[in-house]
Amino acid sequence: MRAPDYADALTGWRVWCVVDTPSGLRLASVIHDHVWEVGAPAVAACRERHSAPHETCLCGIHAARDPAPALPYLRGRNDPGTVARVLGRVLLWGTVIEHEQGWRASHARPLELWLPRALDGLGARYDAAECAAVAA
Amino acid sequence: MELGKPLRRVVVEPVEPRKHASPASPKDPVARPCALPTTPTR
Repeated sequence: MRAPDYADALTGWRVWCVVDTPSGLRLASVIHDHVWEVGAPAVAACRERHSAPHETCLCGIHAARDPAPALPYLRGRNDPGTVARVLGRVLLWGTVIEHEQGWRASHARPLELWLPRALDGLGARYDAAECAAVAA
Repeated sequence: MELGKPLRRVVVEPVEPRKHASPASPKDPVARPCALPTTPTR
């Protein structure tokens, strides 16, 4: 077994969609059809059926070292059910491919979310949904 | 997301559940939402 190169999770920036699901509001990938479960880490997978992330692929959970590369993803055409896009920081761990401006990781968990003031009401709804799910 | 060239593969220690929970919201491992900063800082 290989010793860890880092003893603590890396912290990166990414954008999520906030989607309305039968279970309540959830974070979801902007690019892929993947909803992040409450209270559980997101685990990367690849349609090429190799372990993710892989050096020769683009798979893995993406995050940038700085917010700038993530910001353009706050704009875009949303699928039905998407109520907002949010910028946030994410913890990354497991197998990680380091890039010049960020990382692709095998495991991730949201750390902080920033919501526009116009969505304060949404923030309260999302927070309530998270707490209820975690407490259940 | 444009991340630039890959540099190396590393292994990062697993995150323990709730290790990074906010002291202000002990029931919620996901940080509380707040206003979008005009100039995001790390």
